[in-house]
Amino acid sequence: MSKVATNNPIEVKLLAALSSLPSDWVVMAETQSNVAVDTTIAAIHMLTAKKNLCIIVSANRPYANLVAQYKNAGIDPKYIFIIDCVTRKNGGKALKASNAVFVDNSSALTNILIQINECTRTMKGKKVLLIDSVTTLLVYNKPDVLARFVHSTLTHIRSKGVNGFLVCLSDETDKEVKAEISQLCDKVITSAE
Amino acid sequence: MTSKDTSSLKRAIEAHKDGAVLMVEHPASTYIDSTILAVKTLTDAGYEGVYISYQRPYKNISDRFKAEGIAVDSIAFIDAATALADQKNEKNPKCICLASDADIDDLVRAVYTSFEKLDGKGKFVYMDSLSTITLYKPLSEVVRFSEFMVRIVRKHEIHYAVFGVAEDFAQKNFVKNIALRVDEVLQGGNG
Repeated sequence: MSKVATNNPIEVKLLAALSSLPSDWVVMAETQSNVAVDTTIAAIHMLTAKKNLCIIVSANRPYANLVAQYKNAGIDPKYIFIIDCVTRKNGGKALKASNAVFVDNSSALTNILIQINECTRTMKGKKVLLIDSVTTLLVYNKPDVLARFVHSTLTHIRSKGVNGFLVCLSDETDKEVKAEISQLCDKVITSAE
Repeated sequence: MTSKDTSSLKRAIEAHKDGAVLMVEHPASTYIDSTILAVKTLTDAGYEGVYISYQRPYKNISDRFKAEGIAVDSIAFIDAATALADQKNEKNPKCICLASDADIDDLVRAVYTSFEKLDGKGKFVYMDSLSTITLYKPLSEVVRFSEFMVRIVRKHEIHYAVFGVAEDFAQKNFVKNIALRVDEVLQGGNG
C-alpha cells in the first residue's frame, strides 16, 4: 500500500505495517479496549483516503452512531458500506440507507456472509472488508462456529481479491479462537507495534 | 523430542536422510511466514512436494510462494479451502480442488494423484494446519489422515510428511496424539 500523508500516530503505524504486505493482504489488528475505537476509525480513515471501499461488519455500534463518528473523523461516506448487526437487535428501526444493510443480530452469521458476498459482487473498485470486532462476535457465537465463519469469509474475500482488516481486543478474546484466526491472516498488528 | 535451534527443519532434513514424519509448531501471529520458510527449506533442499491447503485458496498461497522465491513448479497443490467457503474452483493443472463434502479418503486419493505430477526422486507432503482441518473434520478422521501420512513415509513412498500446527494448539489432546506418532517436533519461524 502506498503512503498517505497523515499525522495520526495510529494511522502511521498501520501504514507502516501494511507497507510490507502483498497486495491481497488480510490483517488482524490486536488492540487494547481503550484504543479500539481509535484504531478502527484510523484504519477506516487511512483506507478510504486511499479510495478503498470499506465494507464494515459492525457488531459494536449502530449505523447512526457510526455515521456520526465517521463524519467527525472526516471520513468520506461514499467509501463506506455498513453491515449493521446492532440496530435491529436493540429494537431500533432499520433506517433507509443506501450505504447500509441491517441484519438481525451478531449471531446471524449466514446472513452476514450473504451480505458480504453481495457487497463483493456488486461494489466496483478496490474493496476492504473490516470486521469490528472479532471479540464482540465471539460473545454471540460459539468459538468453533465463529472460527468457521471467519475461515469461510477470508477464503471468500481472498478469492475475490478483497482485502481484510479484522479488529480484536488483545486481552478479551478467547486464546484458541485468536490463534486460529491469526494463522489465517498475513500479519497480526499489535498496538505495541 | 523438540528442537529449537535456528534452522530446525533444515537440520531435521539432514538428520533424517531416509525420511521422517515431522510436526512444525508455528507462532500463530506469523504462521504464513513461518510456513513459507518451512516449504522453502524443503524445496531448496531439492525436494518436490504436495502442499495441502486448508487455510487459503490455491491462487493466494501459490502467489505467496512465488513472491518468496519458491519454485512452485516443484509443488502440486491440493486446495481444500475454496470449496469449504462455497466458492467455485478454477481448474488448474497444478492444483486438485477438493469438493466441500470430500472426506479423508478423497484427500488420500488426491495426494496419490498429485504424486503423478512430480518428477523428482525426493518427495514431501505438507499439511498446512492441523487445527484448521479440525474446524471441518472430526478429530478421528484427522488422526486417520495422520496415520496415512506416517504410513507413506514408513513405506518410503515419500521422504517427508510435515504437519503444520499453531504453537497455541500444541497441548491439545489430538495434537499430542499425533505428535506421539511423528519422528520429531520442530519449532517453526526460522526455517
